[in-house]
Amino acid sequence: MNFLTDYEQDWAELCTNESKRCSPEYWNSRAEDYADFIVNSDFDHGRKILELFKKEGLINQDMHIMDIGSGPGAISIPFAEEVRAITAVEPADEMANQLLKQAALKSLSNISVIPHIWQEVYTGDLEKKIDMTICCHSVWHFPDLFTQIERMQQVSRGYCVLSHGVHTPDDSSQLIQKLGMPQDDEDRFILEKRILENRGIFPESSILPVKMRRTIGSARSMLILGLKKYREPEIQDLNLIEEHLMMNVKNGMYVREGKMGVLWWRVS
Amino acid sequence: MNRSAVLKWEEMYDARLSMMNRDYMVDDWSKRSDDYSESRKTDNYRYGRSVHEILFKNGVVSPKTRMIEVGSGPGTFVIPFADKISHVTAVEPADGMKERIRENAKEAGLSNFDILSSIWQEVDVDGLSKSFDLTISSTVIWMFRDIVEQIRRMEKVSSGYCCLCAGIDSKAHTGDELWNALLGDKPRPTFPEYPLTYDILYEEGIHPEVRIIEHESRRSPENIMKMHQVFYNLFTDMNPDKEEIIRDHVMNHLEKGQYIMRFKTAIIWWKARDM
Repeated sequence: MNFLTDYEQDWAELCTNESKRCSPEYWNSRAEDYADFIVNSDFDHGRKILELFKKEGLINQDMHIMDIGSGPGAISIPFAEEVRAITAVEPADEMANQLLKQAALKSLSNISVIPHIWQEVYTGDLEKKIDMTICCHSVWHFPDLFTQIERMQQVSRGYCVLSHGVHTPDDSSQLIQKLGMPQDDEDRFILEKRILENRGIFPESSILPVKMRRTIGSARSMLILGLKKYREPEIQDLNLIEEHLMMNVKNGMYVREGKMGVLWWRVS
Repeated sequence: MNRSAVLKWEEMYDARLSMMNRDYMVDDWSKRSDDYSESRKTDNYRYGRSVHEILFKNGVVSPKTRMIEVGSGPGTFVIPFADKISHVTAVEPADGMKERIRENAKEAGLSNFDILSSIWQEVDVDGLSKSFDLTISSTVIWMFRDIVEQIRRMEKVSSGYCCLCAGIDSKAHTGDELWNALLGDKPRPTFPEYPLTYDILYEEGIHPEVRIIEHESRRSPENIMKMHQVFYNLFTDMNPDKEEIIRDHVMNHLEKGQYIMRFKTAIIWWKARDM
Protein backbone atom coordinates (compact mmCIF):
# COMPACT_ATOMS: atom_id res chain seq x y z
CA MET A 1 0.00 0.00 0.00
CA ASN A 2 1.46 3.39 -0.86
CA PHE A 3 -0.98 5.78 0.72
CA LEU A 4 -1.20 7.40 4.12
CA THR A 5 -4.56 6.99 5.74
CA ASP A 6 -5.99 9.88 7.73
CA TYR A 7 -4.94 8.17 10.96
CA GLU A 8 -1.38 7.76 9.74
CA GLN A 9 -1.32 11.39 8.68
CA ASP A 10 -2.56 12.39 12.15
CA TRP A 11 0.12 10.21 13.70
CA ALA A 12 2.89 11.67 11.55
CA GLU A 13 1.86 15.22 12.42
CA LEU A 14 1.68 14.33 16.09
CA CYS A 15 5.06 12.66 16.28
CA THR A 16 7.34 14.51 13.87
CA ASN A 17 8.27 17.44 16.13
CA GLU A 18 8.26 15.45 19.35
CA SER A 19 10.52 12.76 17.98
CA LYS A 20 13.02 15.40 16.78
CA ARG A 21 13.21 16.83 20.32
CA CYS A 22 14.01 13.42 21.78
CA SER A 23 17.36 12.47 20.25
CA PRO A 24 19.65 9.81 21.76
CA GLU A 25 21.47 12.74 23.46
CA TYR A 26 18.23 13.71 25.19
CA TRP A 27 17.76 10.12 26.38
CA ASN A 28 21.36 10.01 27.59
CA SER A 29 20.53 12.95 29.83
CA ARG A 30 17.41 11.12 31.03
CA ALA A 31 19.05 7.74 31.64
CA GLU A 32 19.62 8.15 35.36
CA ASP A 33 16.15 9.44 36.25
CA TYR A 34 14.49 6.94 33.93
CA ALA A 35 16.39 4.01 35.48
CA ASP A 36 15.36 5.28 38.92
CA PHE A 37 11.72 5.17 37.77
CA ILE A 38 11.95 1.68 36.29
CA VAL A 39 13.86 0.17 39.22
CA ASN A 40 11.78 1.82 41.95
CA SER A 41 8.63 0.69 40.14
CA ASP A 42 10.10 -2.84 40.13
CA PHE A 43 9.79 -2.96 36.32
CA ASP A 44 6.04 -2.68 36.84
CA HIS A 45 4.70 -2.36 33.32
CA GLY A 46 7.16 -4.91 31.91
CA ARG A 47 6.20 -7.44 34.57
CA LYS A 48 2.51 -6.85 33.94
CA ILE A 49 2.90 -7.32 30.18
CA LEU A 50 4.92 -10.49 30.85
CA GLU A 51 2.21 -11.85 33.17
CA LEU A 52 -0.45 -11.07 30.57
CA PHE A 53 1.46 -12.92 27.86
CA LYS A 54 2.18 -15.87 30.15
CA LYS A 55 -1.55 -16.17 30.83
CA GLU A 56 -2.21 -16.01 27.10
CA GLY A 57 0.27 -18.83 26.55
CA LEU A 58 2.58 -16.70 24.39
CA ILE A 59 5.79 -17.13 26.39
CA ASN A 60 8.20 -20.05 26.54
CA GLN A 61 11.79 -20.37 27.68
CA ASP A 62 13.21 -20.87 24.17
CA MET A 63 12.07 -17.50 22.92
CA HIS A 64 14.26 -14.76 21.50
CA ILE A 65 12.68 -11.37 22.11
CA MET A 66 13.54 -8.01 20.60
CA ASP A 67 12.86 -4.94 22.73
CA ILE A 68 12.83 -1.81 20.56
CA GLY A 69 13.77 1.32 22.51
CA SER A 70 14.58 -0.69 25.59
CA GLY A 71 15.70 2.17 27.80
CA PRO A 72 17.01 0.84 31.14
CA GLY A 73 15.12 -2.43 30.81
CA ALA A 74 11.46 -2.07 31.77
CA ILE A 75 10.67 -4.87 29.32
CA SER A 76 14.07 -6.49 28.81
CA ILE A 77 14.81 -7.31 32.45
CA PRO A 78 11.56 -9.11 33.42
CA PHE A 79 11.41 -10.91 30.07
CA ALA A 80 15.08 -11.93 30.30
CA GLU A 81 14.21 -13.79 33.50
CA GLU A 82 11.81 -16.02 31.51
CA VAL A 83 13.21 -16.47 27.98
CA ARG A 84 16.39 -17.59 26.22
CA ALA A 85 17.58 -14.29 24.74
CA ILE A 86 16.80 -10.60 24.54
CA THR A 87 18.04 -8.25 21.86
CA ALA A 88 17.60 -4.70 23.05
CA VAL A 89 17.65 -1.95 20.43
CA GLU A 90 18.83 1.17 22.26
CA PRO A 91 20.74 4.07 20.68
CA ALA A 92 21.40 6.04 23.88
CA ASP A 93 24.66 4.78 25.44
CA GLU A 94 23.71 5.80 28.94
CA MET A 95 20.36 3.99 28.70
CA ALA A 96 22.14 0.86 27.43
CA ASN A 97 24.62 1.13 30.32
CA GLN A 98 21.74 1.31 32.79
CA LEU A 99 20.16 -1.74 31.16
CA LEU A 100 23.38 -3.76 31.39
CA LYS A 101 23.89 -2.62 34.99
CA GLN A 102 20.44 -3.90 35.93
CA ALA A 103 21.12 -7.16 34.06
CA ALA A 104 24.39 -7.61 35.98
CA LEU A 105 22.69 -6.92 39.30
CA LYS A 106 20.22 -9.70 38.51
CA SER A 107 22.92 -12.01 37.08
CA LEU A 108 21.25 -12.01 33.67
CA SER A 109 23.66 -12.72 30.83
CA ASN A 110 21.16 -13.22 28.00
CA ILE A 111 20.75 -9.59 26.95
CA SER A 112 22.61 -8.06 24.03
CA VAL A 113 22.30 -4.51 22.75
CA ILE A 114 22.07 -3.13 19.22
CA PRO A 115 23.28 0.47 19.74
CA HIS A 116 21.25 2.14 17.00
CA ILE A 117 17.94 3.79 16.48
CA TRP A 118 15.46 1.18 15.24
CA GLN A 119 14.97 2.94 11.91
CA GLU A 120 18.66 2.34 11.11
CA VAL A 121 18.82 -1.30 12.14
CA TYR A 122 19.40 -3.47 9.07
CA THR A 123 16.52 -5.92 9.26
CA GLY A 124 17.70 -8.10 6.37
CA ASP A 125 20.07 -10.04 8.64
CA LEU A 126 17.37 -10.51 11.26
CA GLU A 127 14.54 -11.66 9.03
CA LYS A 128 12.23 -14.06 10.91
CA LYS A 129 14.89 -14.68 13.56
CA ILE A 130 12.93 -13.18 16.46
CA ASP A 131 9.96 -14.77 18.24
CA MET A 132 8.42 -11.59 19.57
CA THR A 133 9.17 -7.98 18.68
CA ILE A 134 8.09 -5.50 21.34
CA CYS A 135 8.03 -1.74 21.14
CA CYS A 136 6.89 -0.26 24.42
CA HIS A 137 6.62 3.49 25.03
CA SER A 138 8.80 4.21 22.01
CA VAL A 139 6.59 4.16 18.91
CA TRP A 140 6.07 7.90 19.06
CA HIS A 141 9.66 8.21 17.81
CA PHE A 142 8.38 6.93 14.46
CA PRO A 143 6.38 9.42 12.37
CA ASP A 144 6.33 6.73 9.67
CA LEU A 145 4.68 4.31 12.06
CA PHE A 146 3.43 1.68 9.65
CA THR A 147 6.78 1.45 7.87
CA GLN A 148 8.40 0.67 11.21
CA ILE A 149 5.65 -1.81 12.08
CA GLU A 150 6.32 -3.61 8.79
CA ARG A 151 9.99 -3.80 9.78
CA MET A 152 8.99 -5.25 13.15
CA GLN A 153 6.93 -7.84 11.30
CA GLN A 154 9.83 -8.58 8.99
CA VAL A 155 12.10 -9.69 11.84
CA SER A 156 9.43 -11.58 13.77
CA ARG A 157 8.40 -15.16 13.09
CA GLY A 158 5.91 -15.06 15.96
CA TYR A 159 4.31 -11.98 17.46
CA CYS A 160 4.54 -8.22 17.34
CA VAL A 161 3.62 -6.06 20.30
CA LEU A 162 3.01 -2.34 20.66
CA SER A 163 2.27 -0.76 23.99
CA HIS A 164 1.63 2.76 25.02
CA GLY A 165 0.17 4.76 27.85
CA VAL A 166 -3.56 5.37 27.61
CA HIS A 167 -4.37 9.05 27.84
CA THR A 168 -5.75 9.88 31.27
CA PRO A 169 -6.00 13.55 32.22
CA ASP A 170 -4.45 14.25 35.62
CA ASP A 171 -2.75 17.11 37.44
CA SER A 172 0.39 16.70 35.31
CA SER A 173 -1.72 18.26 32.56
CA GLN A 174 -2.26 21.29 34.81
CA LEU A 175 1.48 21.57 35.43
CA ILE A 176 2.21 21.38 31.71
CA GLN A 177 -0.35 24.10 31.10
CA LYS A 178 1.15 26.30 33.82
CA LEU A 179 4.63 25.83 32.37
CA GLY A 180 3.33 26.83 28.96
CA MET A 181 4.40 23.56 27.37
CA PRO A 182 2.29 22.17 24.51
CA GLN A 183 -0.59 20.08 25.84
CA ASP A 184 -0.63 16.58 24.45
CA ASP A 185 -4.21 15.36 24.64
CA GLU A 186 -3.89 12.82 21.86
CA ASP A 187 -4.45 9.22 22.84
CA ARG A 188 -1.71 7.45 20.94
CA PHE A 189 -2.85 4.02 22.03
CA ILE A 190 -6.20 4.25 20.24
CA LEU A 191 -4.53 5.91 17.25
CA GLU A 192 -2.03 3.02 16.96
CA LYS A 193 -4.91 0.54 17.15
CA ARG A 194 -6.84 2.30 14.39
CA ILE A 195 -3.75 2.51 12.17
CA LEU A 196 -3.24 -1.25 12.47
CA GLU A 197 -6.91 -1.99 11.80
CA ASN A 198 -7.01 0.30 8.79
CA ARG A 199 -4.12 -1.74 7.42
CA GLY A 200 -6.04 -4.98 7.97
CA ILE A 201 -4.25 -6.04 11.17
CA PHE A 202 -6.68 -6.73 14.01
CA PRO A 203 -4.61 -7.01 17.18
CA GLU A 204 -5.70 -8.44 20.47
CA SER A 205 -5.63 -5.86 23.20
CA SER A 206 -5.52 -5.32 26.91
CA ILE A 207 -5.36 -2.23 29.09
CA LEU A 208 -3.33 -2.69 32.25
CA PRO A 209 -3.19 -0.58 35.40
CA VAL A 210 0.41 0.57 35.86
CA LYS A 211 2.30 2.46 38.50
CA MET A 212 5.17 4.93 38.20
CA ARG A 213 7.19 5.14 41.40
CA ARG A 214 10.39 7.17 41.54
CA THR A 215 12.46 9.27 43.93
CA ILE A 216 11.71 12.96 44.14
CA GLY A 217 15.09 13.72 42.55
CA SER A 218 14.26 11.49 39.59
CA ALA A 219 10.84 13.11 39.14
CA ARG A 220 12.41 16.58 39.36
CA SER A 221 14.97 15.66 36.73
CA MET A 222 12.24 14.25 34.44
CA LEU A 223 10.18 17.43 34.67
CA ILE A 224 13.08 19.86 34.26
CA LEU A 225 14.60 17.97 31.33
CA GLY A 226 11.14 17.68 29.78
CA LEU A 227 10.77 21.47 29.96
CA LYS A 228 14.28 21.96 28.58
CA LYS A 229 13.12 20.32 25.34
CA TYR A 230 11.25 23.59 24.75
CA ARG A 231 13.10 26.27 26.71
CA GLU A 232 15.41 26.96 29.65
CA PRO A 233 13.51 26.77 32.97
CA GLU A 234 13.15 29.98 34.99
CA ILE A 235 12.83 30.31 38.75
CA GLN A 236 9.03 30.42 38.68
CA ASP A 237 9.03 27.22 36.60
CA LEU A 238 11.18 25.50 39.19
CA ASN A 239 8.79 26.66 41.92
CA LEU A 240 5.80 25.23 40.03
CA ILE A 241 7.65 21.94 39.61
CA GLU A 242 8.47 21.80 43.33
CA GLU A 243 4.84 22.51 44.21
CA HIS A 244 3.69 19.70 41.90
CA LEU A 245 6.25 17.30 43.35
CA MET A 246 5.20 18.00 46.93
CA MET A 247 1.57 17.33 46.04
CA ASN A 248 2.41 13.92 44.59
CA VAL A 249 4.85 12.49 47.09
CA LYS A 250 3.82 9.43 49.08
CA ASN A 251 6.22 7.95 51.63
CA GLY A 252 9.07 9.90 50.12
CA MET A 253 8.39 8.71 46.57
CA TYR A 254 6.73 10.40 43.60
CA VAL A 255 3.91 8.06 42.63
CA ARG A 256 1.58 8.19 39.64
CA GLU A 257 -1.00 5.65 38.58
CA GLY A 258 -1.98 5.23 34.98
CA LYS A 259 -2.99 2.77 32.31
CA MET A 260 -1.01 1.08 29.60
CA GLY A 261 -2.59 -0.27 26.44
CA VAL A 262 -1.04 -3.38 24.92
CA LEU A 263 -1.68 -4.54 21.35
CA TRP A 264 -0.37 -7.84 20.03
CA TRP A 265 -0.84 -9.91 16.93
CA ARG A 266 0.59 -12.98 15.27
CA VAL A 267 2.67 -12.19 12.23
CA SER A 268 1.28 -13.93 9.18
CA MET B 1 -17.04 13.91 24.70
CA ASN B 2 -16.08 12.88 21.19
CA ARG B 3 -18.99 10.88 19.77
CA SER B 4 -17.59 10.24 16.31
CA ALA B 5 -17.77 6.44 16.59
CA VAL B 6 -21.46 6.54 17.56
CA LEU B 7 -22.22 8.86 14.65
CA LYS B 8 -20.40 6.53 12.29
CA TRP B 9 -22.37 3.60 13.69
CA GLU B 10 -25.66 5.41 13.08
CA GLU B 11 -24.61 6.36 9.55
CA MET B 12 -23.75 2.75 8.72
CA TYR B 13 -26.98 1.52 10.25
CA ASP B 14 -29.03 4.02 8.22
CA ALA B 15 -27.10 3.23 5.04
CA ARG B 16 -27.85 -0.49 5.46
CA LEU B 17 -31.56 0.16 5.99
CA SER B 18 -31.73 2.44 2.97
CA MET B 19 -30.44 -0.43 0.78
CA MET B 20 -33.08 -2.86 1.97
CA ASN B 21 -36.60 -3.52 0.74
CA ARG B 22 -37.48 -3.87 4.41
CA ASP B 23 -35.65 -4.49 7.70
CA TYR B 24 -35.38 -7.91 9.28
CA MET B 25 -38.49 -9.11 11.13
CA VAL B 26 -38.63 -11.66 13.93
CA ASP B 27 -40.16 -14.22 11.53
CA ASP B 28 -37.08 -14.00 9.29
CA TRP B 29 -35.07 -15.44 12.15
CA SER B 30 -37.58 -18.28 12.58
CA LYS B 31 -37.04 -19.12 8.91
CA ARG B 32 -33.28 -19.10 9.59
CA SER B 33 -33.48 -21.33 12.66
CA ASP B 34 -32.81 -24.64 10.87
CA ASP B 35 -29.75 -23.47 8.97
CA TYR B 36 -28.40 -21.59 11.98
CA SER B 37 -28.87 -24.57 14.25
CA GLU B 38 -27.18 -26.89 11.78
CA SER B 39 -24.19 -24.54 11.48
CA ARG B 40 -23.63 -24.72 15.24
CA LYS B 41 -24.13 -28.43 15.62
CA THR B 42 -21.88 -29.56 12.75
CA ASP B 43 -18.81 -28.64 14.81
CA ASN B 44 -20.33 -29.30 18.23
CA TYR B 45 -20.74 -25.60 19.12
CA ARG B 46 -17.04 -24.91 18.68
CA TYR B 47 -17.52 -21.15 18.39
CA GLY B 48 -19.38 -20.96 21.72
CA ARG B 49 -16.88 -23.30 23.36
CA SER B 50 -13.97 -21.12 22.20
CA VAL B 51 -15.63 -18.01 23.65
CA HIS B 52 -16.28 -19.81 26.94
CA GLU B 53 -12.66 -20.96 27.06
CA ILE B 54 -11.35 -17.40 26.66
CA LEU B 55 -13.72 -15.97 29.27
CA PHE B 56 -12.93 -18.79 31.70
CA LYS B 57 -9.17 -18.32 31.27
CA ASN B 58 -9.57 -14.64 32.10
CA GLY B 59 -11.75 -15.16 35.17
CA VAL B 60 -14.90 -13.75 33.57
CA VAL B 61 -16.94 -16.94 33.99
CA SER B 62 -16.82 -19.74 36.53
CA PRO B 63 -19.05 -22.73 37.28
CA LYS B 64 -21.11 -20.40 39.53
CA THR B 65 -21.85 -17.83 36.80
CA ARG B 66 -25.43 -16.85 35.98
CA MET B 67 -25.48 -15.47 32.45
CA ILE B 68 -28.03 -13.64 30.31
CA GLU B 69 -27.61 -13.77 26.55
CA VAL B 70 -29.01 -11.10 24.27
CA GLY B 71 -30.29 -12.81 21.12
CA SER B 72 -29.58 -16.50 21.64
CA GLY B 73 -30.45 -17.83 18.21
CA PRO B 74 -30.54 -21.64 18.19
CA GLY B 75 -28.41 -21.93 21.33
CA THR B 76 -25.00 -20.93 19.95
CA PHE B 77 -23.90 -19.99 23.47
CA VAL B 78 -26.74 -21.49 25.53
CA ILE B 79 -25.61 -25.06 24.90
CA PRO B 80 -21.81 -24.74 25.44
CA PHE B 81 -22.16 -22.31 28.36
CA ALA B 82 -24.99 -24.15 30.18
CA ASP B 83 -22.70 -27.16 30.13
CA LYS B 84 -20.09 -25.22 32.12
CA ILE B 85 -21.85 -22.57 34.23
CA SER B 86 -24.73 -22.36 36.70
CA HIS B 87 -27.56 -20.93 34.59
CA VAL B 88 -28.29 -19.25 31.26
CA THR B 89 -31.20 -16.94 30.51
CA ALA B 90 -31.73 -16.73 26.75
CA VAL B 91 -33.39 -13.58 25.43
CA GLU B 92 -34.87 -14.68 22.11
CA PRO B 93 -38.03 -13.52 20.34
CA ALA B 94 -38.19 -15.87 17.32
CA ASP B 95 -40.39 -18.96 17.78
CA GLY B 96 -38.22 -21.06 15.48
CA MET B 97 -35.07 -20.22 17.40
CA LYS B 98 -36.73 -20.92 20.75
CA GLU B 99 -37.79 -24.36 19.50
CA ARG B 100 -34.23 -25.06 18.36
CA ILE B 101 -32.84 -24.01 21.77
CA ARG B 102 -35.20 -26.42 23.54
CA GLU B 103 -34.45 -29.27 21.11
CA ASN B 104 -30.70 -28.70 21.24
CA ALA B 105 -30.67 -28.45 25.04
CA LYS B 106 -32.68 -31.66 25.33
CA GLU B 107 -30.27 -33.38 22.98
CA ALA B 108 -27.35 -32.17 25.12
CA GLY B 109 -29.10 -33.18 28.36
CA LEU B 110 -29.19 -29.59 29.67
CA SER B 111 -32.00 -28.03 31.70
CA ASN B 112 -30.27 -25.16 33.54
CA PHE B 113 -31.62 -22.44 31.26
CA ASP B 114 -34.75 -20.43 30.67
CA ILE B 115 -35.99 -18.40 27.74
CA LEU B 116 -37.14 -14.82 27.97
CA SER B 117 -39.37 -14.50 24.91
CA SER B 118 -38.78 -10.94 23.80
CA ILE B 119 -36.63 -8.69 21.72
CA TRP B 120 -33.88 -7.27 23.93
CA GLN B 121 -35.07 -3.68 23.55
CA GLU B 122 -38.33 -4.58 25.32
CA VAL B 123 -36.85 -6.51 28.23
CA ASP B 124 -37.56 -4.82 31.59
CA VAL B 125 -33.98 -4.22 32.68
CA ASP B 126 -35.05 -2.36 35.83
CA GLY B 127 -36.75 -5.51 37.05
CA LEU B 128 -33.60 -7.54 36.29
CA SER B 129 -31.11 -5.02 37.65
CA LYS B 130 -27.84 -6.76 38.62
CA SER B 131 -29.49 -10.21 38.43
CA PHE B 132 -26.69 -11.79 36.40
CA ASP B 133 -22.92 -12.16 36.57
CA LEU B 134 -22.45 -11.80 32.83
CA THR B 135 -24.40 -10.29 29.94
CA ILE B 136 -23.25 -11.64 26.60
CA SER B 137 -24.28 -11.08 23.01
CA SER B 138 -22.97 -12.38 19.72
CA THR B 139 -23.63 -11.13 16.20
CA VAL B 140 -26.71 -9.21 17.34
CA ILE B 141 -25.74 -5.64 18.16
CA TRP B 142 -25.76 -4.52 14.52
CA MET B 143 -29.56 -4.58 14.93
CA PHE B 144 -29.42 -1.73 17.46
CA ARG B 145 -29.30 1.78 16.08
CA ASP B 146 -29.29 3.14 19.65
CA ILE B 147 -26.17 1.14 20.42
CA VAL B 148 -25.04 3.08 23.51
CA GLU B 149 -28.48 2.79 25.13
CA GLN B 150 -28.56 -0.96 24.53
CA ILE B 151 -25.03 -1.42 25.88
CA ARG B 152 -26.00 0.48 29.01
CA ARG B 153 -29.04 -1.77 29.41
CA MET B 154 -26.75 -4.80 29.13
CA GLU B 155 -24.57 -3.33 31.88
CA LYS B 156 -27.62 -2.64 34.03
CA VAL B 157 -28.56 -6.31 34.38
CA SER B 158 -25.02 -7.48 35.15
CA SER B 159 -23.26 -7.25 38.49
CA GLY B 160 -20.09 -8.61 36.88
CA TYR B 161 -19.10 -8.37 33.24
CA CYS B 162 -20.46 -7.62 29.80
CA CYS B 163 -19.18 -9.35 26.69
CA LEU B 164 -19.83 -8.59 23.04
CA CYS B 165 -18.73 -10.99 20.32
CA ALA B 166 -18.46 -8.89 17.20
CA GLY B 167 -17.65 -9.92 13.66
CA ILE B 168 -14.62 -8.48 11.89
CA ASP B 169 -15.16 -7.54 8.25
CA SER B 170 -18.77 -8.64 8.56
CA LYS B 171 -19.49 -7.93 4.90
CA ALA B 172 -17.43 -10.93 3.95
CA HIS B 173 -19.89 -13.69 4.72
CA THR B 174 -22.45 -12.45 2.19
CA GLY B 175 -19.83 -12.98 -0.55
CA ASP B 176 -18.99 -10.52 -3.31
CA GLU B 177 -19.54 -13.00 -6.08
CA LEU B 178 -23.12 -13.92 -5.22
CA TRP B 179 -24.05 -10.37 -4.27
CA ASN B 180 -22.85 -9.06 -7.63
CA ALA B 181 -24.58 -11.86 -9.54
CA LEU B 182 -27.90 -11.00 -7.92
CA LEU B 183 -27.66 -7.24 -7.43
CA GLY B 184 -25.09 -6.03 -9.94
CA ASP B 185 -23.17 -3.01 -8.74
CA LYS B 186 -25.62 -2.09 -5.98
CA PRO B 187 -23.44 -1.43 -2.92
CA ARG B 188 -23.28 -4.18 -0.35
CA PRO B 189 -24.55 -3.56 3.16
CA THR B 190 -22.17 -3.25 6.07
CA PHE B 191 -22.94 -4.74 9.45
CA PRO B 192 -20.86 -2.51 11.69
CA GLU B 193 -19.49 -4.60 14.51
CA TYR B 194 -15.72 -4.59 15.10
CA PRO B 195 -13.65 -2.44 15.52
CA LEU B 196 -16.34 0.24 15.63
CA THR B 197 -17.84 -1.38 18.73
CA TYR B 198 -14.52 -0.95 20.52
CA ASP B 199 -14.32 2.71 19.56
CA ILE B 200 -17.85 3.29 20.88
CA LEU B 201 -16.97 1.67 24.19
CA TYR B 202 -13.74 3.65 24.37
CA GLU B 203 -15.63 6.89 23.78
CA GLU B 204 -17.88 5.84 26.65
CA GLY B 205 -14.80 5.67 28.87
CA ILE B 206 -14.75 1.86 28.90
CA HIS B 207 -11.41 0.11 28.39
CA PRO B 208 -12.31 -3.41 27.32
CA GLU B 209 -10.20 -6.50 26.78
CA VAL B 210 -10.15 -7.95 23.27
CA ARG B 211 -9.21 -11.39 22.01
CA ILE B 212 -9.64 -12.49 18.42
CA ILE B 213 -10.79 -15.94 17.34
CA GLU B 214 -11.24 -17.58 13.98
CA HIS B 215 -14.08 -20.01 13.43
CA GLU B 216 -16.26 -21.42 10.70
CA SER B 217 -19.76 -22.63 10.02
CA ARG B 218 -20.80 -25.57 7.85
CA ARG B 219 -24.20 -25.96 6.26
CA SER B 220 -25.85 -28.44 3.92
CA PRO B 221 -26.65 -27.16 0.39
CA GLU B 222 -30.39 -27.03 1.21
CA ASN B 223 -29.86 -24.95 4.35
CA ILE B 224 -27.38 -22.52 2.81
CA MET B 225 -29.76 -21.94 -0.09
CA LYS B 226 -32.55 -21.18 2.38
CA MET B 227 -30.21 -18.83 4.26
CA HIS B 228 -29.31 -16.94 1.08
CA GLN B 229 -32.94 -16.73 0.00
CA VAL B 230 -34.02 -15.17 3.31
CA PHE B 231 -31.09 -12.73 3.19
CA TYR B 232 -31.42 -11.65 -0.44
CA ASN B 233 -35.19 -11.34 -0.21
CA LEU B 234 -34.53 -8.32 2.02
CA PHE B 235 -32.60 -6.58 -0.77
CA THR B 236 -34.26 -7.70 -4.01
CA ASP B 237 -37.45 -9.33 -5.22
CA MET B 238 -36.63 -12.99 -5.55
CA ASN B 239 -37.77 -14.96 -8.61
CA PRO B 240 -36.97 -18.42 -10.09
CA ASP B 241 -34.01 -17.02 -12.08
CA LYS B 242 -32.42 -15.54 -8.96
CA GLU B 243 -33.07 -18.73 -7.03
CA GLU B 244 -31.23 -20.57 -9.80
CA ILE B 245 -28.26 -18.18 -9.44
CA ILE B 246 -28.16 -18.98 -5.72
CA ARG B 247 -28.38 -22.71 -6.41
CA ASP B 248 -25.52 -22.56 -8.94
CA HIS B 249 -23.39 -20.51 -6.58
CA VAL B 250 -23.93 -22.93 -3.71
CA MET B 251 -23.31 -26.05 -5.79
CA ASN B 252 -20.08 -24.53 -7.16
CA HIS B 253 -18.73 -23.71 -3.71
CA LEU B 254 -19.27 -26.92 -1.79
CA GLU B 255 -16.37 -28.49 0.09
CA LYS B 256 -16.98 -32.20 0.64
CA GLY B 257 -20.70 -31.61 0.27
CA GLN B 258 -20.84 -28.72 2.74
CA TYR B 259 -20.89 -24.94 2.33
CA ILE B 260 -18.27 -23.50 4.66
CA MET B 261 -18.09 -19.88 5.80
CA ARG B 262 -15.06 -18.63 7.70
CA PHE B 263 -15.19 -15.86 10.27
CA LYS B 264 -12.97 -13.77 12.46
CA THR B 265 -14.62 -12.50 15.64
CA ALA B 266 -13.53 -10.12 18.39
CA ILE B 267 -14.40 -11.19 21.92
CA ILE B 268 -14.75 -7.92 23.84
CA TRP B 269 -15.40 -7.80 27.56
CA TRP B 270 -15.34 -5.31 30.39
CA LYS B 271 -16.51 -4.87 33.97
CA ALA B 272 -20.10 -3.63 33.89
CA ARG B 273 -20.53 -0.14 35.28
CA ASP B 274 -23.23 0.73 37.81
CA MET B 275 -26.13 2.01 35.74
